[in-house]
Amino acid sequence: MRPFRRFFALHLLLAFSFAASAVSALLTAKLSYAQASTQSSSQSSTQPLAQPSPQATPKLVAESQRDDPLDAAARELARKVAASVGAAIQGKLTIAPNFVNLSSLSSFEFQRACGAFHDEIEQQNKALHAASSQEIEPASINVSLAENLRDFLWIAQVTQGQSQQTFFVSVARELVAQENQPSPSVTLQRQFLLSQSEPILDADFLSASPNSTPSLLILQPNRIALFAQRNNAWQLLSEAPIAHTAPWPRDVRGRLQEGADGEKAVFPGVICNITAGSPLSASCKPGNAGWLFSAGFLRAFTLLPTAAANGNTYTFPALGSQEFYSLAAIAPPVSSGASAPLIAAMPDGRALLFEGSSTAVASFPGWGSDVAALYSATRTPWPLLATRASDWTAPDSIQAFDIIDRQPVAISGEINFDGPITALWSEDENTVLAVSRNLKTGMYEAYFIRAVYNQ
Amino acid sequence: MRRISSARFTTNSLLFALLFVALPASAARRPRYGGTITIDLQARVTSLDPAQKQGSVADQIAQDRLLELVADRLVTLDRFGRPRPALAVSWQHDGKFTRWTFRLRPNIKFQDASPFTPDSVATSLQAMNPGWRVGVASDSVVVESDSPLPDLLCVLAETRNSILLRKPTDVIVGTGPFRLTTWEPGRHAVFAANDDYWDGRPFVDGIDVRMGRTIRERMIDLDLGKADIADVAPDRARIDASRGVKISTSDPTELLALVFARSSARAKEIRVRQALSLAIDRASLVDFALQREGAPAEALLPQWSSGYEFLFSTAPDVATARQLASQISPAHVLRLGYDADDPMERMIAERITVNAQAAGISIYARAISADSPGGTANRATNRAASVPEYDARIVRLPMSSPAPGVALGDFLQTVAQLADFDPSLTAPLNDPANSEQLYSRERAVVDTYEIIPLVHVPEVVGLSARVRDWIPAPWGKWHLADIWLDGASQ
Repeated sequence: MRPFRRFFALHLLLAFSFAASAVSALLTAKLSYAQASTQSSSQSSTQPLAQPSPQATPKLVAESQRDDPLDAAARELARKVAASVGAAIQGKLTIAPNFVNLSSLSSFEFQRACGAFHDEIEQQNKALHAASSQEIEPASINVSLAENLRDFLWIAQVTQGQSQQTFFVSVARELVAQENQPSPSVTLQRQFLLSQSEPILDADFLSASPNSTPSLLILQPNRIALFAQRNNAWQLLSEAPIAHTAPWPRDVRGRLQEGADGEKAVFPGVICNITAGSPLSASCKPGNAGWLFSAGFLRAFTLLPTAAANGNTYTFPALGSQEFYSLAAIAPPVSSGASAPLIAAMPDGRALLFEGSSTAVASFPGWGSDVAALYSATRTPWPLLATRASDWTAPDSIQAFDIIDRQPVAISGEINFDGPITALWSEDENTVLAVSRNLKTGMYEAYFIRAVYNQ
Repeated sequence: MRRISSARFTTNSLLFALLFVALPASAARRPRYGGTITIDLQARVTSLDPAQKQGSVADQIAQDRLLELVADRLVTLDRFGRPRPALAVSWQHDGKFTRWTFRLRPNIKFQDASPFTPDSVATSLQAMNPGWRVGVASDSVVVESDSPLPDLLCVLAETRNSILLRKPTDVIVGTGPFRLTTWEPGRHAVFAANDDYWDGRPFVDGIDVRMGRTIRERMIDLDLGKADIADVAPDRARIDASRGVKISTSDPTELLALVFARSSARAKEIRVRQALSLAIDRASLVDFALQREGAPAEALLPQWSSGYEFLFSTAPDVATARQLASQISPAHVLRLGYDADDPMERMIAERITVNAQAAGISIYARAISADSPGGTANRATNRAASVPEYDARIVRLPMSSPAPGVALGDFLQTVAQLADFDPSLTAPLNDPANSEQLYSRERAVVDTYEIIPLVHVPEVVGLSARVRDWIPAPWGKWHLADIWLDGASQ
């Protein structure tokens, strides 16, 4: 990351002047606003200002704007600047802020936050009232959005004559939502579930009555957590540790799956019975369960793949001793007793197509290590979702394919992610769960990917 | 309805196949187990014990890299510099930050099967931090200090605070992802994967480290596939990349600065120091000495760490420098010292003398041997020089932490051994995470001109084509347990 080299220059020129009266304690501001790169001037207005009220006014504004941390920070900086200027001046003052984006945020996000700064200055103008009409030398303000490893930093340099003051407001990087890439127009739709700093292995909605609050189970390497949706956000209700005697493999996999005797979490060599009561509990014991790779898997096979004890691969009797990272059944068997076609992502980077034998009939190099079928009760073959080839240092994408003539044919656009896909599991009909580790924030982000068929 | 064996073959599939041709044959995303990484280093590490300081900054950095294989810390930092649990699973502190309690991770053992206990942690930390009082409470360790330790988590994440068992035979044992199997000081080290590592066994089976390799040997080894990782001098990065070597360049991890000696009467006058700072063309230092693999240092901390480096300006101003120099009477000839064994320091010193002379400042560069007063050996062992043979010298200051407060504090502690700093400039900050406080402190230091930032230097590494998931931290820390080798047998 080299933020200083990525110098997205967006210059907004905001100029306003204050005219003040010592007797009436009214401060008049003249404000003009323009995008310097394209226009040299625009509107201006004159309005009376009240004395700064550092306690009451900021609180009021903060409460109304607290939904966007970057905007809120810009407003806080504006209040600091306004308070400083209001305390310093005894007369007419000209401020011409120069806005510069030194961060990796897009010009759109930056411009929006500059608007918040501008709005807050206007709010403060209304709250100010002047103390003097005496002419003083003009001041200049440079406002920059920069970043360091942890935070985005709003920085304002206020220069009046020989004196210079510098104000900072920081906002934690993880609080700033990155602008999503434009969604593909067809076929695959992405629904964000939640993000957190701990790895997410799998997620599952709990069965609930239509009128009850939705609940979400999140499986992590060392705990399972139950969230409930409140005020459009997932709130942690309860969590339980996952007990395991041996250390997990470095790239540990985990799966939530519903069996005949309730919800289970399966890990390499460990099975946990999950009781989603209050509190949530997980009873774990050594064991090698079958992994339900997709909802349609049991329609095609009676056995399930099992995990290698000390690694991140699986084996499946139909494929002999071959190990693989992920496996997808892409259609039900054509007749009773026949075998269903399978695609396995292999450790050597190829995806192999198997049609009833452990010898592959086709090889597709260039996919990532995760494939998942979009199970459908009404459409066969089931579309296959595949990640992009690379390693975990690069952004990733998911795309849907049909296998036609033993060749993959892309049937959707790509959905791009800001980091590698670390888990991809088939869920209910036409739905896949994807977990991505965002390389910009370090957070694990869970999404549901749903297929919408154009026809 | 589509069928698997349909006769359709669309343009999409053709394009897809062509895309595959352009990709490497093996392109799996998920890591593979197996194989041995071979690392060639120029540095010579004589001990893995962090209490044993190494001969040069490069050796010191290499010691950190190797120690991270063997040992863990209580706390680690993620790639955004945020503290995360490691050997400690949780922590709490009092309101004044003078007492911290760390609850230790259960079921951990040292690599020699010794139990990992609060006592062993306390002993290890106390040895490296005599100013703290490190005690034990049940399954926890308590760190107390008379002065507040608001950034203790970041300090504990530094490699020097690795949790170690020090054996009588000078062997160190940790809890880390690899265990040391062969140790030839300054020459060779072999590490094997710790199968029982609490955070998951590393993907590779082992690491073979060869030290003291020349640049020629390192590049040949990379070319022939005899090395997987080799350090590369920044000024060689573009040349080697053009030869096809896979080059990884970090954000700047080191500051090269000019520090004035406390004992120098010739540099007592601030105008002398200010004139020299204004005379230096830092961009040309980056162009010539670093071959553009670095950045002019406007401040002590790089932009990626502080976020405010751009507020400083060190553009050359020869006219003002000349004016200041002309006001000083009598004009002294300054002696600029550099490490005799460091070609980069020599190039920078020579370039500075050219800049200074253009501004009418009399200065000459002279090499300093490691054992001379104020030389490298004395710096490394923290022994202050009695009468240094220079008025100013170039120093290399590696970033000890991505946390700007910790890194700045460590910079200033090191520089204060050489320069004439007011004690208030090295006093702990109330809130080291507060950018405003940090900026004020750094501004105050830079305005003394006792230290003049020159260039920020990245860490450059050459990689073989089979190394995958190479994600060093922005501050240069390697994560060798996460690396895997393409083509290794699973």
